[in-house]
Amino acid sequence: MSLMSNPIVGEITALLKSEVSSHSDGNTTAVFTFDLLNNRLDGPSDIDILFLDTLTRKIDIARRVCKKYDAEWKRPIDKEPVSCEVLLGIILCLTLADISHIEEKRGHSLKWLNAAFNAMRIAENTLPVDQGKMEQVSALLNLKFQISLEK
Amino acid sequence: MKTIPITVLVHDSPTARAYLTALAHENMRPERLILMIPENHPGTGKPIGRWLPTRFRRSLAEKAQNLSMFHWPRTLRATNKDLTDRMISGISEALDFPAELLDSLDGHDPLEEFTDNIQRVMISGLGDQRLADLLAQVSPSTVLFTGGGIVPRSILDISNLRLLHIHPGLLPHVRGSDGLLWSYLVHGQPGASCFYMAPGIDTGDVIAAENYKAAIFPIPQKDRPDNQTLYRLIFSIFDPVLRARMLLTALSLNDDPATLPTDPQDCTAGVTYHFMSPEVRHASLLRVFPES
Repeated sequence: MSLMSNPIVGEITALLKSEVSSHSDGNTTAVFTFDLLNNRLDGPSDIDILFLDTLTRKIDIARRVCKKYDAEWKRPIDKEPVSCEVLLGIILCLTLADISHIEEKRGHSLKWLNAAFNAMRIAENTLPVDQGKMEQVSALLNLKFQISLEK
Repeated sequence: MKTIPITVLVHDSPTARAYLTALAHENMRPERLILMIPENHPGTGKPIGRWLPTRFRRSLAEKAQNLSMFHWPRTLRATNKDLTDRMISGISEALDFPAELLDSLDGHDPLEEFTDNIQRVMISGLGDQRLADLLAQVSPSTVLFTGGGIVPRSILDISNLRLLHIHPGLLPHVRGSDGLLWSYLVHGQPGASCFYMAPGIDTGDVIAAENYKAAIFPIPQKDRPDNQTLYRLIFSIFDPVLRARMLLTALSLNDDPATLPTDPQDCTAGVTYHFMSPEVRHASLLRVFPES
């Protein structure tokens, strides 16, 4: 069974859908995450890949993902951190997005999984979390990491 | 001993010592050494000897820097002697680097042994204007940057100053932090590159880039130190020697370090890595220190 068909992916996507209706303009993190999770996980566009790579910087270096950024995804416009559900959605995108078509795919994949582990830590330490969903996402992340190491 | 037209900007550390020792072994002395002395303690971040006259304060800060930066290399050699000895032997063989030189990485030798011309500057960080002013005075020059972190524009923009840097990863494929560990994890072997610094992260024109034979150090599970200790061993021994090996390779390409041949990088290629999470670091350390 494909990792993308894991039930937690659908659950998080549904939660994000309800969140994006309230803010759908500009570079809203929840909107991009929902769109990618819902539509293009198996074939992310160049812009999606750039978006995810930008998010790894927010996670690994700033240790914070904000709700909304400027047009270049550099400065936060809304400095409020994203909800736990959005962060879990980002972790799923970093874990599951199929980037088998890009160059240096092994490096990119491990870099994104590294950010996904760091994002799990941010969620645990700073956000109110749904423990059950966290554990399901964590299991998926660890499984993908093991598969990636064996390749 | 040949004096080479290069200024070494020293952030005193095993890396700086590896460079200086490697140069000395090849009968080369840098024409100038600038020692950056942090005015705040590297460990605690607190100001050092604020009440003391400048000369004494600088001396105290230099001593504190040495004790702090070489604490782990000295401690680990004492507490993990067997593993350290195996690492020195294995790294020496894999990188074709004389094992006896690795003894100098613990910072005991006076810096005066490496050049006749040492200038000391107390700074609050790389963005300190005192450092930019001093480097502007030595321009034109080629400066070997021995520290880490992002070099600010106040230094990069000094005219006629070329900053040489060695990165522990094969450019353009491996950029960013934890280069040696990412190289092992993604490519199965270490690499290093020498380049002239530019404003981006590891994006300057490349002088030399090479992969090396993978040195591995199996450890029985019962004797395995924790990951933090293994990580410190990498940065006390392996990473500095890898960089020094590359420095010698790059300097061998031309007599004048200001005009070393370069190739521009394809900045769209490769991956810029970040510091590793504990999970990824663990997997990577297992590639260098597999369980036996």
